[in-house]
Amino acid sequence: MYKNLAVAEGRVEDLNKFRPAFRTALYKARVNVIGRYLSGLLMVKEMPDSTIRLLFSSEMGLKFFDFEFGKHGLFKVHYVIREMNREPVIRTLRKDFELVMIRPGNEDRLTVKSDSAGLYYIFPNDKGYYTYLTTRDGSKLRSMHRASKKRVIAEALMYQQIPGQPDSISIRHTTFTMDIRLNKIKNEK
Amino acid sequence: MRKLFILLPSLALYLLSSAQHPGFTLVNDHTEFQKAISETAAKTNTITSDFAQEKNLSMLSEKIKSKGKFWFKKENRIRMEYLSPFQYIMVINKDRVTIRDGQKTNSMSVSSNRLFQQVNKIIIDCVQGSALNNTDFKTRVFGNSNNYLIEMKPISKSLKNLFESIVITLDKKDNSVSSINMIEKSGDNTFIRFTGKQMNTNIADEVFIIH
Repeated sequence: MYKNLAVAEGRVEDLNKFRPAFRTALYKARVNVIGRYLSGLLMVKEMPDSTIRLLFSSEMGLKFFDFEFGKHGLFKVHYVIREMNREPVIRTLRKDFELVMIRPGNEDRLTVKSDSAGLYYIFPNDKGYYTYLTTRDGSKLRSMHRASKKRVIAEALMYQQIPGQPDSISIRHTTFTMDIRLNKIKNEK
Repeated sequence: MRKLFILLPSLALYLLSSAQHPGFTLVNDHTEFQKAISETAAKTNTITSDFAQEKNLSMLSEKIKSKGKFWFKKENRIRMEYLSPFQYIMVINKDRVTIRDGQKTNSMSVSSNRLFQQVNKIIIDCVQGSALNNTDFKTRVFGNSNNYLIEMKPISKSLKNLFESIVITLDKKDNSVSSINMIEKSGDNTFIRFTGKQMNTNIADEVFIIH
């Protein structure tokens, strides 16, 4: 997939400044999938044990899913509504969120490459790669990819005014019609 | 001694009921309650109110708070408009549900989906006070000096997957709905409180149409 790129210098730690440090964040979520539209609220919370919980519910409170992401690729489904309780659906959501949380796993197998546009931080996984594209000086995160061995499967963009606190996140799939858009909202305390 | 054995189960049931809804006692005879609700429903043509919603995520120790406005008009027309911290509108107009989220509007027939029908009926029953007649639930009524409390426990598997129970409180002053609490098995719940209620004001039909 990235064979034609030149090898470059880089470390996993270079991505630390982009990694979302959620603590607690609430997003308005909009999902278009195969002609269907779903909206709701996504609560993201870092728990005391450093696991991250993602809870997606409708605006009226109906829960769609509650996922837990731990270190070293640990993943747990606390709840998923019957209509979404399908392995391909859960797997897609899991991988999409692992991508944007910048928890790619296999950090010891990182390869860094470059082209004229910037740097590619490439983490292999069982069926492809999680790749993070930065500017040449490493100061900005251009985009994030989930890729198979041959092509990009999903592309994610993240906008953060304050590093580590994403204001908006978008994920667009290329092999089927699905896109997810998250916009941060202020949760009244 | 025999009297004690007869009394004990009743006492246990009374204590259990009270424990589930502190400050309320079980109403065994629904006649007076049903009469009050029916009379109110007959003379209530419209309701407008503000609402405040709180979704409690017990495991995360977090609450998601939102606010909006609510309209009801006979028969079976409801508009729930969320104003903060996001904009979202849900309109039930007889047998159609229309949702506007930002720029996007989706409309569907209530009858297109059995679960959707059931949830729609719950909303209408909650507002119209006809919850006792909903055969998808096992219902109990509790009361105190100021309020009625209707506890609805789902019977069907599909609804059981969504709710452990739904608890509606009615203000005895006018038998209007004060709050709805949708409780999930996980311990999470969604609590909606209605305030500033106005009955039988004029509401244009256009309020229940999203173009």
